Amino acid sequence: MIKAEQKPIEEILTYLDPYKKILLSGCGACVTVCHAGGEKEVSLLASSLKMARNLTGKPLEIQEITPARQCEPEFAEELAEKAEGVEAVLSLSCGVGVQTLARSLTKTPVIPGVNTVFMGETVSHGVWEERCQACGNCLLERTGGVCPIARCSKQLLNGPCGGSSKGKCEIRQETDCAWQLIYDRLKSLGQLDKLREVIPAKNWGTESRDKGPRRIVREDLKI
Amino acid sequence: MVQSMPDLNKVAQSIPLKREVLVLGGGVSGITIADILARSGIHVTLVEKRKNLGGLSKQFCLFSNRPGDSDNRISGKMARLSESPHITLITGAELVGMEGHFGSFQAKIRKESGETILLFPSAVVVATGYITRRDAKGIPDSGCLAFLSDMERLIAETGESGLLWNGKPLNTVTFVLDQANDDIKLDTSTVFKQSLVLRQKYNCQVYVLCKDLKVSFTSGERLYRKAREAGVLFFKYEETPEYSLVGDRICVALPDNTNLKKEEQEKITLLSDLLVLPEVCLPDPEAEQLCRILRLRMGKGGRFMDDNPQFLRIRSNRRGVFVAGACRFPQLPAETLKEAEAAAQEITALLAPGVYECGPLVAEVNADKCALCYTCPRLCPHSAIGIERYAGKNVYYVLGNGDRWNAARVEPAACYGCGICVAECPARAISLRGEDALSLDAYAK
Amino acid sequence: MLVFIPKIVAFCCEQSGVPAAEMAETLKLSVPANLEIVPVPCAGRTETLFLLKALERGADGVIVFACHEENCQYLIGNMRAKSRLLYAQNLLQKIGLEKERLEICNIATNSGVKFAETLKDKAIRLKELGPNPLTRINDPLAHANVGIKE
Repeated sequence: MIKAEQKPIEEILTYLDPYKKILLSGCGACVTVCHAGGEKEVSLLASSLKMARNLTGKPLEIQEITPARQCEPEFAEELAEKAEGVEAVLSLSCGVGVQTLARSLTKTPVIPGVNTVFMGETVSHGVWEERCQACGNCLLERTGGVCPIARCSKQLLNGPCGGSSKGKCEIRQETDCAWQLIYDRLKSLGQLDKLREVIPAKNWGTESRDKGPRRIVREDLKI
Repeated sequence: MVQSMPDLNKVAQSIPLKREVLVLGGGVSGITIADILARSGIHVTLVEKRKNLGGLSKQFCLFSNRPGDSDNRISGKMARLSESPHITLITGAELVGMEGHFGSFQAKIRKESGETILLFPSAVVVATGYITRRDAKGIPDSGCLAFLSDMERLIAETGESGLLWNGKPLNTVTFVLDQANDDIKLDTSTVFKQSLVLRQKYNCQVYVLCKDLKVSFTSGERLYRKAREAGVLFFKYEETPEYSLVGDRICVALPDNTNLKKEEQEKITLLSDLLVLPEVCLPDPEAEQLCRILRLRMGKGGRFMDDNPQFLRIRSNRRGVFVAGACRFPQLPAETLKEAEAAAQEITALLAPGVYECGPLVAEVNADKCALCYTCPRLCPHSAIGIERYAGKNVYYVLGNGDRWNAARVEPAACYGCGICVAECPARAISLRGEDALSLDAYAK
Repeated sequence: MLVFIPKIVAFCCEQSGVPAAEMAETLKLSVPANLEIVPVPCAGRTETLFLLKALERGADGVIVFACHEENCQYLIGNMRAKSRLLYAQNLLQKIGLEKERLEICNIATNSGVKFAETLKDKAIRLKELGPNPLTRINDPLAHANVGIKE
């Protein structure tokens, strides 16, 4: 799932400086799960912002709302209606939500309140780690379910570098060596032979992001 | 918002309770609890993973100071167990799964044959005991080493004739306590009793080495004084003593701690025919797995439950699940028996009304807002929250088949009303039914 | 003469803080004036939001009374409350409020004296810290928690 982290409050205050009345919008999906932008965080942030602005003598009126999601046009339109009468919207949703909302609000700035960091999993409660970088051509079948693009610091596709030591990465000692994990997993699956198949260099241009925003089209679903 | 979403929060306030209990473990605690409950007419299923009952009690037959007596006590109970119509005994069987909550427990037992059966107890008792290990590290191999259970058996089996060990007469015995088993007073109590018998009945010379005299148990100080008066010699040590062989006798060497100046401490050497050590008490290695199945908290050192005085030694973090005996912490047999009686009493009181009235404070999840983030099931200290897809899992509320819930759900019978989940939920989807909302309102919005 | 009587909001856990408060009352111990006691079933019920809102609404200080560590009736409530308090203190520092205004105190049911003493100490420290800066903003002279001393 998308994992995000709240922006430092000092940064948010800088963005909100010109405004006196805003809508603070959370999101009930990904950012709720990683405790960055759900209803709880919305109310905490609203209280902190109000107090911070009161201290500087420039009070800020905040309306709070947490829709189920922000990233469908319909959700965004509904939210846009609620944004009437405010000078700006501070959105705690991920980058997708912010942009979807911005598209429906031509006259009102939409300010992000979180940094969308990665797609990741829960390591333990309160600890999340990157697992997927949306490379566009998933090779997990060949690596026993461990992604070398997201988890190898060097994004190597055919085995570890010489710096892999005791299962840890030379770039950052706390990081597990992805290729060690891949090897262990393929071994337990009895699929070590897959390591003999060379994974060719990735074509970031056609498979991935280097040619601008990617698009998926399902002709059969189009209305 | 789905119109037809059932309000699972309007669940039954009273949960019916059958007089049905599952006891895991057929040692001293398990047998005692089953015996008492059965005599009140409560049906008990006693599941023991070994083929025989009794656990480690066979090792210690002197705990009431009269060798045949304790054996009779346990045997008496075991005989009643097999005769009672209220007890179903299953040996060679294990608990492999447990679903549900208090009032709706579903326990899956796998028998020796591989067959699995389902039980539906209203309460579960964990009395799985502990294991012992004979650790002879550092002791030269000589036939001069025995453990407390060996000495126990020797004393019980030797009549009026002299004590013999490996064919040789036993004149001098050295006990060394405290090399392992911190905080466990069982060894000290056993050593006091055994040394008294050795002195008074067999006129052996007895030396006892210890780091600390753990006399804080019933009659501890009295026994110690009796042992001293009988001529048992006690030595205090700090670092591990040196062990060596002198001829066919074992020699234990330690500095004389009565002299406070370390440089001037003389070395004491004790020669004896036999060195007796306590077995090391360890938690059952399967405890962790059982904890996971039962959703219980693990305490220090791999035992069940935290060392929290609020839990009165027999309660676990889950309503309806109790922990009794050495699996929580090894203790003296008299204390174990008291604990077992206490557990039986709590269970009888719990089941007596035939129904459980849910507390005034119960947490409730608003399924519309739940983001299925798993925060509340992880955090609930009472394991009262699960993620449920279909409302059919709630046995007290009759719904149409397949009504979808698809959110976290707090089982009212298992909830303690602490409100921790309410405060943690990132979607503020949980509320505490029955709380005085007015006083918190000013600070909640 | 205008005197600053700090407003203290005390979130009292019903397993520790509330009995201690009742004991203080029975012993007729004096507690600071302008004290609001908010009972909660467990310190773990105290949301991070409560701590901030109390200050937002003009309290000068907030204290959470919880059971001693390893003594929580509900096992982890006191530790969760502590983590949330530390998080709130962090937020306060970033927005320019003194983190000392928030405090957690571990207490037992029979500690009526400790209850009263802790609150008295808190009132003294809050007097030194001064009134909640938020309340001064609107009208420097009229402070919500300033009263006329007879």
